[in-house]
Amino acid sequence: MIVDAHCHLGSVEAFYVPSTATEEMLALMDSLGIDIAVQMHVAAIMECFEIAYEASVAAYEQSAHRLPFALTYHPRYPEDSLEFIAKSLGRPGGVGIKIHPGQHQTFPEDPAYEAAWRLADKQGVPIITHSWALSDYNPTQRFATPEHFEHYVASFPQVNLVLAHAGGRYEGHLAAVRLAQDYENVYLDLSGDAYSFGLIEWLVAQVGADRILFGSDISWVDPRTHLGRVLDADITLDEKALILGQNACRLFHLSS
Amino acid sequence: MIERISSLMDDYRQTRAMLRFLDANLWIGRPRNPEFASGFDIATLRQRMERYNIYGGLVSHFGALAYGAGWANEELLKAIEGTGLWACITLLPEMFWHEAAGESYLAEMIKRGTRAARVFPATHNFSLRAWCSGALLEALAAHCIPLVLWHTETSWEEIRSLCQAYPQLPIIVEGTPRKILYYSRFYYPLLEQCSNLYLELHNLVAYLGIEDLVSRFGAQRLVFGSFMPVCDPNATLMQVTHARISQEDKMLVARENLAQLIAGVKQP
Repeated sequence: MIVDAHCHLGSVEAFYVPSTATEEMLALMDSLGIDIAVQMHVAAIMECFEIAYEASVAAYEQSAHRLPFALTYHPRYPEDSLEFIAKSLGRPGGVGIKIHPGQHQTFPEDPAYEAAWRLADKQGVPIITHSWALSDYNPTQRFATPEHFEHYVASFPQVNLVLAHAGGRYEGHLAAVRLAQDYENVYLDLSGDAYSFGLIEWLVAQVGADRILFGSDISWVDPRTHLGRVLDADITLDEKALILGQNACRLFHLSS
Repeated sequence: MIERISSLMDDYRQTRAMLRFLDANLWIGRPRNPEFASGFDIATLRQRMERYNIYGGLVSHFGALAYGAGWANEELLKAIEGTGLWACITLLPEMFWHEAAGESYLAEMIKRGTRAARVFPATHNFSLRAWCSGALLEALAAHCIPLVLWHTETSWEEIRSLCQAYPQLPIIVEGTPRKILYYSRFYYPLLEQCSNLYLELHNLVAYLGIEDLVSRFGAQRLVFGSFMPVCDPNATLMQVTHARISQEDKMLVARENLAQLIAGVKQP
């Protein structure tokens, strides 16, 4: 199966997006041969946990189980967000927990995140987090640089952490790789707009293809920008198979 | 799984080869941060173009951005000589302070293979308004030489003013170094209002963006560019090869729009 490990449904208000419809997403996936997309509903990142839960369950059913989901844990609303995450992990389709330290402006080592790690440990699901490099035009990225995740990664070695965007920019890529080299429970996804020449080949050489995930960031970023890079990368076919689906199937316990 | 991936790879590579891409955003010279890339000379660039089925295009020189435009333009023209590639030179206002000298410089550049020009008003500290860059812009407009701009080097208000002040001047906006999708509420109305505005694709990575833009404004307004060797060209190539638009529109985006802009440059 080809799995896009990083997508979003839900409204995006910060800029105009051509479509946020589930049907459109499925149609594009069909045209590209993508079987499954793990989606993290925007509403849960933006404090609307109920909407995210209901819409995610609906999309999972509407898609004939092609859109499993990870709801977002919010460190400033721990109880509210956990209530719906726990519900989601108790039913088909719930496959992980998302955190977004940048959006929520809470450093990843903050004690407020411990509840999410404990639940992930208990349920045997991965945590997917936004990760990036320091940015001169987006200061909130300082909350999500990879080294900040070490505390919980080390404390919960049995919980897998996906550093989405693999650190986002060059310095973030270096830090993400360092963390992945030090901890076997760290995975990297390719989503977002990190298109550096040679990045995929470098990540594979540094970390190994068995901990890299194809992901897009729909409905921000188009999946074709990532699929083409993996398909044409100078790596082996077996490594492409791991990145394009086998790793995600193993990590999220997905099956056809 | 392996067979399926092989089949997807073959389909992608065959479609890519068939479209015979022309690239508006190729570079030589050392970028400020090479990241994971190496090899910034014209020979390496040409090898990579072949590898990715890019058949030609406009080449720029990083030295113009960081060190010296005049020097880099000369290096660029020497590098592309005999390659079939075109130059995208970098201009500064003072090159046109003496109007005749500016005109003469531009004429020489065109004769030697220049088919587009860049300006970096933020990095090089100048205004694109007529009081500062009027002679430069008038000269470009007179020769219909496409002007290439990074959106981070100016403002959308400024781009609008430029498009309106020089309607015969093709203006290509690139999403360097930040992706352009966050500015969709700027460039959608501008594409509607300014027929001389084009968007380059390497960082126009919006989900379903190509389909939506083509359906609203036509395929004529998009120009393929890779920003190689800084960026992986596959990020842009597959957006075009697998766009859900007509084959005719794909050809426009992949090569014809740029080919027409290049052909439209008036010889001195």
